[in-house]
Amino acid sequence: MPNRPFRQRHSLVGRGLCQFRLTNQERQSKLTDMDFEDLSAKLSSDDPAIGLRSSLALHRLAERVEANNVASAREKGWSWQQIGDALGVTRQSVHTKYNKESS
Amino acid sequence: MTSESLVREALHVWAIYLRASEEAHRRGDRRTGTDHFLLALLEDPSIEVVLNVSLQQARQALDSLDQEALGALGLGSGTGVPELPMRAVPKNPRIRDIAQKHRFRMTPAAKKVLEEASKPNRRRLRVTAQQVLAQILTLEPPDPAAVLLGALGVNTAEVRRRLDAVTPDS
Repeated sequence: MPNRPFRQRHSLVGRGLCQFRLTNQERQSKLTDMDFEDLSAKLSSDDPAIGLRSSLALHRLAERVEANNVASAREKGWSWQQIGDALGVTRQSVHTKYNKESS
Repeated sequence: MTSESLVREALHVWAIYLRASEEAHRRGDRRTGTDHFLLALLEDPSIEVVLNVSLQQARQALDSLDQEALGALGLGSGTGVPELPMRAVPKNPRIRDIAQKHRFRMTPAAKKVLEEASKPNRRRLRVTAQQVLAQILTLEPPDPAAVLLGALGVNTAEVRRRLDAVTPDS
């Protein structure tokens, strides 16, 4: 292993290889072997109606998680700037999107 | 109430749109679709009678469809995430209610439903809930409203017959 190039040593593609310094070997092999492959198999389901509905359901879930946590952050005194930083957007865009709901 | 006692109250199209938009917001959608229009119509008790479905049943059916879809990905049900709060909708909305608040755009299918429903009317901004429902009944899966009606076990042909009996001019 030490003689292999950095990219190969720390690639996420290989079986049992972990993210560099982030995930331990045992856990990464479980994630790679079970969850990711399982999810890929399910995503390649033959019925696009189910796949497309799943995609929309995921969008909805993400939107609800985000909105609930923005409201929670505001209650705990976070500034719009901090929330924007956490979400990777400007404070103006997060304020425009959520100030009506949390005010 | 029976289907024969339906009152055909003309509503402002913006009022229906705003109600539907709030349903979209509650569910976490970023666009107002035909399924949200169906939920908005179900706030009218006469539509509940025609469809023989309550608003709560329809909301639960949509949640079940979402849980089934998330389950297909092996991601659990997502039921632990609370719905978003709905805001009050004025009965006779003004332009500022549409323009000033953060509102969602309609999906193309939802826009077509509203346009087609109000087409026979002299005043294009007034439409009855029955006219909008009649347009929604013409939709086919995979349209979200048609999928919802299917999940609720609504017989669309029977509902259309009932609507025609009550509103022969639409």
